Parts: sequence; structure tokens; C-alpha cells
Amino acid sequence: MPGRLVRPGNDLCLRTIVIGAASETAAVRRGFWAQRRAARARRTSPNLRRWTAPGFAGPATVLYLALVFLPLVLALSYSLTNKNLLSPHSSYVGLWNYHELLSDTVFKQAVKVTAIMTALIVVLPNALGLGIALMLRAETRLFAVLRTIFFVPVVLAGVVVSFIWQAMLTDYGVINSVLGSVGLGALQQGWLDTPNHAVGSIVAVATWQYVGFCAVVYLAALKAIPDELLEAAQVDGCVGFARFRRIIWPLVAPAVTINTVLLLITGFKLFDYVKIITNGGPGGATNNMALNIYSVGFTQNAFGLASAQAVVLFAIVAGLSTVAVLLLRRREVEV
Amino acid sequence: MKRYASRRRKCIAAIVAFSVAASVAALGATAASARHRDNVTIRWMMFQTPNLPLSYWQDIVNRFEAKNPDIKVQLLPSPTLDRDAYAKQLLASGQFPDVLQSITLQDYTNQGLLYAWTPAEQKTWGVLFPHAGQLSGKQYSIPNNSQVIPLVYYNKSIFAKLHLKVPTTWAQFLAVCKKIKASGKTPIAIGGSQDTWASWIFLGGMFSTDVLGKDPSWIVKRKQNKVHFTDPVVAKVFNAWAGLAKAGYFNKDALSLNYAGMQQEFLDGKEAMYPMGTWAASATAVGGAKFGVGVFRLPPFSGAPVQAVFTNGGAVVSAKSAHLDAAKKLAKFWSLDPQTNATLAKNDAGLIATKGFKQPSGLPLVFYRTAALYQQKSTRQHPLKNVDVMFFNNGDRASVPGMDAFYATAAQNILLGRSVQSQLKFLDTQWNKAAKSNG
Repeated sequence: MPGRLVRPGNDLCLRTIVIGAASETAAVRRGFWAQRRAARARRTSPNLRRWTAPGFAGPATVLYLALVFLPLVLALSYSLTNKNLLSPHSSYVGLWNYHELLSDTVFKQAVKVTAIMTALIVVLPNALGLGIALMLRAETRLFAVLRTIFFVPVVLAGVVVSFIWQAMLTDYGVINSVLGSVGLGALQQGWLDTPNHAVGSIVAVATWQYVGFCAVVYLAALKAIPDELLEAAQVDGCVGFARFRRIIWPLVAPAVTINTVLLLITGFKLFDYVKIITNGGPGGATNNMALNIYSVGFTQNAFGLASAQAVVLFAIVAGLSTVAVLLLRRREVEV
Repeated sequence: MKRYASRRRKCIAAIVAFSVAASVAALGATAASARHRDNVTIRWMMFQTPNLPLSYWQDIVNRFEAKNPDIKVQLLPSPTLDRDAYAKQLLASGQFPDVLQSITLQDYTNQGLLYAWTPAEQKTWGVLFPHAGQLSGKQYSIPNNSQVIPLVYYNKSIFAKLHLKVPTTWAQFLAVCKKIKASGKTPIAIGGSQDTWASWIFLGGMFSTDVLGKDPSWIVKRKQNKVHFTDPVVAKVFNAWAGLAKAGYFNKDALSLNYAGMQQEFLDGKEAMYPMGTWAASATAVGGAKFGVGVFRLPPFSGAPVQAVFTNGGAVVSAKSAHLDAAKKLAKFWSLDPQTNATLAKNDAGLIATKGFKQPSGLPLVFYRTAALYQQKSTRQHPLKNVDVMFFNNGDRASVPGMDAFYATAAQNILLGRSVQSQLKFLDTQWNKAAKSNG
């Protein structure tokens, strides 16, 4: 029991009494607050306790339903009609829009263009991002600055990036000017003149913007690898590419999954670059699915058909993302 | 403990009550002051170009508001030159503006979205072509200005150096191109990139001249499926275009140049000829060139000269506007105010089509040459046919919605070496689909 009774005047005893008294006061206060909480819990109705968590999650859920789920349902419903943006009436046509897509050469070309661009966008920023992360993972001031420089494009708006690169990629733009001035005039090209060049330019712009993001994700994954593991591998003679293949590559698998899936989704949804830099040209060579949906819906007014294309795009993205996650997760290992 | 809980509840109740009271008071004050001001705000969807920057529109708004203190105008600039796409986005999101600038009328009239001016209102306009752009007998815009699309602007220094005369026949035009090419210059400037219409404007001009020039109702007939793009008369035009491309008469970087870049190349003296609408004659465009600029009509393959003219107003009024009178006032102000029209003539080389309008002085010489060409009367000795602009038209004789992008795609594909026949079939296929989608 605190505060043992001892003879007064003894310093030790006095300290004991004071400490004991303070302890007793603290215990009394703790008991007081515990009693208060218990009393409040008893007063609170069971319903209120049950609805507290949903209440906090409610606003976010409502926003998600209104801005994501509802448009998806609307798009699905419009895809089953011949809705025209500028016509007051529309009627149910079943799967007719989807049937039309099977023979729509422009849509098929858009799918092909999207597939090529996405494949390149998934691979290039991923590979380059890993390379940059491996090079810049040391904690030096210079590398910290370089990491920041690589990340800057990620924070720029796609529209801004598109306008800047559109000006740079013209035949008399900055790219060709710089190549000419450093003696590489032979490399000067019409970067947007031909289908291959235009697709390559769009992919290059996307790579430039997203390589920093991939590098940051890989840097985090590399930091999570225990140093002892790498040191042990070094002691055992596992160095260089062998160390990368056997130690680092398996352990950054989660980062590979994240980057691959995000770049997959980004590639399929690409719109601002193609709209601003090439507007789908030359000759429809960069007319991808996102731009085609926009053109069909807002230029040709065929909202039902555009919605069908949007549903197809959603299905492809959802399907491929799911498959990618499942396949890539299999190679994830834990230390 | 009970005192503490009770005091806290009272405190919270007091804060909530105060907040509610303050909000109600603020709302009441806003509503009261709004009633006191009696202002309306109307929304005007417009667009920006190098000739018509934001300052041009803001100046109009400032002068309009000064004359109409009870009306406020909110500008809604279209993000790109595709005003129709932006207008349709606004429509889809329930934000259709009160006044819209330079849209394709027939796209919106099916849904009764545009206000049709009454005959009594039309009588007050004083315009030279009161029925231009009419749709099914109704007038949705005030046709206050005309554009010829395209004319061919040329570098007089290059022509003088090579002793070239202005061509008046297609054969002469080809000879001029050949000579210019032989001298090391590029004969014709076209564009592309994000402004895909810049790939098509010259081919569209050839179409207007040699297809509509022979049969002005060709587009109407196409809507009735009586003619097709694969017909010989159209194939001849597209093959001639392909011939120009194959001969190397276009700038090699065309497909990577946007409109501004294409114009700059001509102003830099890289190309000798620049086919463009009459807006190019403004001081901010070729009117400001360091060299002398001349202008001529695109020669037809055969027969009398043809001029593709687009006469229309720009401002149309939403029939669903909550402030219809205010919106009509703004549309009339833009269309008929003399100072606004003078600014349009100066900035955009607008060929104003209102009665009694006098061309402002001090404009570039090429503007007056352009106006003289446009105003030329047809005579027996010098016949001249006015036809519609193929892809830039409003009214009953316009293309079906959505075809503009396909015309540009076809033009670019031919430049890339694809066969003319394949592109003509492509146009027919897309026309049929677009016609079906739009009823």
C-alpha cells in the first residue's frame, strides 16, 4: 500500500509518502476517467456504436458511388441504346453497338494503336525507372538532387507536358535544333511526321513523365532490402548482375507489380498527349481508344456507340490489370 | 463530472446555433442584395486564336457591360478550336451556355437547343445576306460576316524573283509550282499536328472549286445517297491532290506543324504559297509579313473561276437560356455593333456583311486585295461562281456531323502515300455511319 506510515522527519520516509501520495492520486484519476468512459459507453446506445464507423466512411462512399460507380452504370446503360448527344429521344438496341464495333475499322485500329502504345509504356518507364533507382540509391547529396530532378515531370499536368513537347517535337523545334548544334544533324527527324515517329514520340513523352514515379517506387523497394542480405551475398561471391538477378530482382517484385499495373492503366487511358500533340494523326496513327471514344461521343454525337467503346475499354483494363496482378504476385517473395 | 458534461453540451449547442444563424443571415443578405442589384449573368462560350486572343473578347464584354449595366457576361473559352466538342461537353454536363460562338448549327437544332430569330427581329438587322446559314427555313444566327475558304496567299518577292504570274488556270498553277520547286523553295504550305484541319483546308478548297463548282447541291445529294465520294468527279480532285504531294509541292514537315507553325513557316519565307481562309489577311497573320503578300483564287480544273464563301454570323443563342433577352442582346451586340465589326475586320480580316459598313482604314494592303476579290461581281466577261465551303458550312447544305475529322484523316493518309481509292471508300463508309448516328 503506498504511503507507509513511518516516523516523520525521515527524508526517505517523506519522499516515500509524497511519491506514494502522488501515485495514489494518479491511480484515482485513472480510475475516474476509466469510470467515465465506462459510464459513457453504457449511456451510448448500441445503434450509435454500430453506425459510428459507417458514418465516418459514408461521405467518401457516397462520393465514390456518385463519381465512379454511377457513371459506370450509366455508361453501361447508354451502351445498350442508340443515344445521340443532340437528339431528345433514344431507344434500346441491345448489343447492337457492340456488334457494330466488330466491323468498325477505325475502332479496331484504335485498339491496335492502344495495345502498341501501352506495351511500350509498361516496359520503358519500368525498366528505366529500375535502372535509375539502382544508380541513385546511395544516400549522397548529389543523388538526392538527381532523384528530385527525375521526379519533377511526374508532378506536371499532362496538358502542360503535351503543349511543351508538341512545340519541341516540330521539325524546327528544340529537339532538332539541339541535335543540329551538337553535330548530330543526321539524327534530326520529323518526330511527328510519320505514323511510327508519332507513336514513338507519344511513348517517349509518357516515358519521360512516368520514369520518375517508377524510380521512386523502386527506390523504396530497394531500401527495404536488408543490408545484411546484400553483404552476405557479397561475402559469398554473389556480386554484379548475379546479385541483381538472385537477390534484388526477386525482392523488388512488389514494386514491379505496382509499377506494371499502374502503367498498364495509364497506357490504356492515355488522352491528353494524343489529343494535344497529334490529335490522333497523322492519318489516325495515334488515334487510341480514349481519343476515339471522345471523338465518337462528342464530335459524331454517337453517345451510345461511344459508351459501348468505353465499356469495352473498361473490360480490357480491368481484365488485364487483374491478370497482371495475379501473375506478378506469384513471384513476390518475403525476406 | 455531470457539471462538466452538461457544460460541454451547452457549449456545442451554442456554437451550432450561432453557425446556423450566421449562415441564414448571410444567405438572406446575399439574396436581398441580389434582388436589390437586379443583375443577370450570362455565359458566353467563345474561342481564342492568334487573331482573336482573350483580350479581343474581353474588350467586347467590357463595352457591352458598359452599355448594359444590368447584365454581366462570363466568358467560357473553348480549350481548343473544336468549339462543337466543348459545347457538347457543356451540354452533357447540364451547363449549356447562353450564347455560343461559331458552332455547327445543324448539330443542335434537332433538340431545339438554339433560338430561332423571328422574322420581325430579322428585319431590324440590316445585313446583306439575311438568309445565309438558314436551316429548314429558320434563322439561328445573324449573318454579319463572310469568309472565303480558301484563297491562296503568295510571297510576291519569290514570284517576282522567278518572274511568275498569278495563275488563273489549273495548268498555270501546276507550272508555277514546278518552277518554284525547281528554284529550291517549297511551293505550298500546309499543316497538321493538333490542327488536323490544316491538312485538309487546301484539298477542301479544291473540292469546293471543282465538285461544288460543277454541282452546288452535291452535299445535299450525298445526304440523299445519290452521289458518293468514290464518284469520278471527286476522285479527280483527290487524285490531283495526291499528284501535288507526289511531286513534292508541299512542305515535308506538314504533318508535324500546327496552324501557327504552318503560318510562321510562310512568314519566314520557306514556302511561296499559303492557302488559307481570308482571316489570314489580318495584320497578325500574313498581313504583317516582311515581304509583299498577294492573293489569288484557287484555279479550277476547267471553266469559270469559283469562290467558296462561308457567310454566317458567329453568335447563336441558346433557346433554353434562363436570360433569353440578355443573351439576344449580347448576340446582336457582337453581330451588329459597328465598333465590334470594325475590330473583327481589323483583327480577323472579317468581310463584314452588314449594310452601310465601311472598311476601316489603315489595314494591311493584302486585306483590301482580299476584300476586292471577294466583292468582285460576276459579269459576262468575267464570270464568277460563289459556292459553299465544303467542310466549313452551316445550314441545310452542310456535311453530316463528325466528318471533319475523317476528311483530315483521308488527306493525311494520302500524304503518307495511301491510295486515293481507299481513302474515298473510307469517307463513304464513315459518312454512312455518321448519317445513321445522326438520323
